[in-house]
Order: sequence, then structure tokens, then C-alpha cells
Amino acid sequence: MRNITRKLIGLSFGAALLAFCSVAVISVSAQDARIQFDLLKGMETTARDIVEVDLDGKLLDLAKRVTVKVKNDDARKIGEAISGLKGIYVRVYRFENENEYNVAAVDQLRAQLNAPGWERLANVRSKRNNQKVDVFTMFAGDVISGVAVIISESKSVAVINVIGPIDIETLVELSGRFNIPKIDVEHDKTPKRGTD
Amino acid sequence: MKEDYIWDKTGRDPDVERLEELLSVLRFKDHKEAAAHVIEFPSKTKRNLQPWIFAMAACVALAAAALAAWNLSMNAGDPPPVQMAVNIDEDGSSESAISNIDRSEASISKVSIPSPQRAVALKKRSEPLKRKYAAVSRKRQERSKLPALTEEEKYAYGQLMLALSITSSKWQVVQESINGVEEVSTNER
Repeated sequence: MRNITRKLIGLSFGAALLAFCSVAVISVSAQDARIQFDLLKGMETTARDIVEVDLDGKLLDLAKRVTVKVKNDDARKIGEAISGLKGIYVRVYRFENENEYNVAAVDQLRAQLNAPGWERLANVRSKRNNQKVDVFTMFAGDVISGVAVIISESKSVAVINVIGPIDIETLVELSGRFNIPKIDVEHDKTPKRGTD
Repeated sequence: MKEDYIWDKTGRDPDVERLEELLSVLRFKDHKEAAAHVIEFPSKTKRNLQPWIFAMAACVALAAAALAAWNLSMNAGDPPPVQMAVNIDEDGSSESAISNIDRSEASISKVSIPSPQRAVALKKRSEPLKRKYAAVSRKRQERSKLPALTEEEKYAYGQLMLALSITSSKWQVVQESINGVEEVSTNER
């Protein structure tokens, strides 16, 4: 009887330890998915337009609660798309002249994403506006724990860092509706050249 | 025979007496009798009253014509705000749009009754504005359905929407860039 009790205690302790470790691993990997934006601070002085959004913790929970409060199908969809979101960080800098920002800083930012855990999903280089598009993802098991998007052009830099799973396709579908304006902060309007 | 009868009626002069007798009917007898023979003309005041009446009537007619012309010119331009206000009321939309209307103009325009063709033309002109105000009204109704949010909630929600809108926009840029590269590579093949 004592042996059975000991075994049961040992098993439950082991299960608890396993659960704690898995939660810890997920939280650590989620924390790792955060990009350090300090490298971009120098751009704030030279940029013509700046958009900076840091949304996480209580503020994000508050915003999620609002999507539940609003009795609307689109709001419900948005709420579902961001239900697992832990944080979203956005930096957009637009400059008056070409190559007015420190390209090395953006390259260093990209170098952060060569760290283990990150996987490059897309890497596009175009001579048109010297465009460089990088998309990185981080997985915790089968679940996406982080997404990083870096788009740099001759006159603009945009960095998006999403912590936690997010259904971007739904958001793209919903863009232009329910106060998600279809904005394009720095999308180039020049006609495409076929031989880039 | 004295010759003084014709001067001071002393003595006698049958010829003169006979003439006097003949002309006696025309002798001045009395003021009243003389006044009876006077032809009476209408007094000056009565004679001058008629032009004044004509002038006043002409002025009134001119004023009425000017008022009518002004009213027509007001109706000839863009549809008056009153027309819009009436339409908005029919749609049951907001009252604030009506509050922007100049009441003095409204009171004048309300009196005018446009012809059926003109009414149709006015209605056609006011259609875009009707739609615009209907859209504003719908938005207000949607807003009124939103729950009361605190300042913190509004800020958080605004930040979230901004972040999501930029994210979705940039995701589209990524997709377009990838698609563009794929198109170029297939063309090269």
C-alpha cells in the first residue's frame, strides 16, 4: 500500500514537473520571439513619418476585451484571429530622400533573426526601390510563437513583430472593414517593371 | 338833353335806357346768383390723388415682381437646404444636419411650391447628398450600438486596430513581392 502511494506521489510530481517545463519552454520561446528595436532608434530623428506601436500585457488584454464587448461578426472574427496573441510591435519609418537611413542597422536587425528558433519563410530582393522583404517565423511545437516581417525600401523601413499565434489571412480579409483601415503606409505607387 | 346820363345817370337818354333794359338780364345782382353760373372744376386735391394711387400700385407691383424673381432665382440654383432637410426627415436621419440650415432661407423656400418637373430635377440633384447623409446616419447608428468604452479601452483598441491594419497591409506587400518574383521567374523560363 505504501509503495503504491509513493508511486502515485512520484507520478503526479513528475507530471507536474513536465507541465511546468513545457509551459516554461513555451513562455521562453515566446519571449525569444521579441525583436530588439533599439537598433532603429537613430531613425526617429531623420524619418519624416513614424509609426510606433507596442501592444502587449494588460493593454492587449484590454483591447481583446473590447472585441468581445462589441456585438459584431467582424469583431468576433478579429477576436478569434488574435485570441492567442501575446504582443504586437510595429515600427514604420518613412524618409524624405532615398537612402537617408542607416542600412547597417536594418541588416543588424535581420541578423538577430538568424538566431536559433527563427526560420526564414520568405526572402525577396528587388532592384525596384531597392526593396528587401524578409519574413521569419518561430514555432513552439506545431504552433507559431512569433512572426517577424522586415520590409526595407530606399525611402522606408517597416518592421513588424508578432508574439504568439495570429491569423493574418483573416486580418487581411477583414482589412478595410470594422475600423481596420486599408492603409498602406509606404507602398510604392510606381508602375512595376517586368525585368527586376 | 344832358349828355351825362351815360356817365352819372343824370337826365335821360332813351337809347341808352333801351340798351340798359336789353342788357339788364345780364346785370350783376348777387354773389350767390353769380356763383350759380360759375362752372365748377374738380378740386386740385381730387385731381392729383389718382397719379399717387397709380404710383403706389406700380410700386407694389414692382416689389411683388422683384420678390417673385428673387424667389425663382433661389430655386433655380442648387437644391435648397430645405429640400434636403425634408428628405432627411423622410429618411428618419439625424437632426444635426437640419440644424445647419439657415432658418431664414428655410422659411422662404418652404413657401415656394416647385412644378412637378422641377421637383423631379431637385430630387435627382439631392440624391447624392441624401445617400451621403444616410451613410452618416448609418455610421452614427452603428456607433450608438457600440458599448460605452473607457478612455483606456478606446486607446488600447485604437492601438490594436492600428497595429493590425499595418500588419495586414505589410502582409499584402509581402504577398505582392513574392508573387512579383514568381511571375518574373516563370517569364524567364
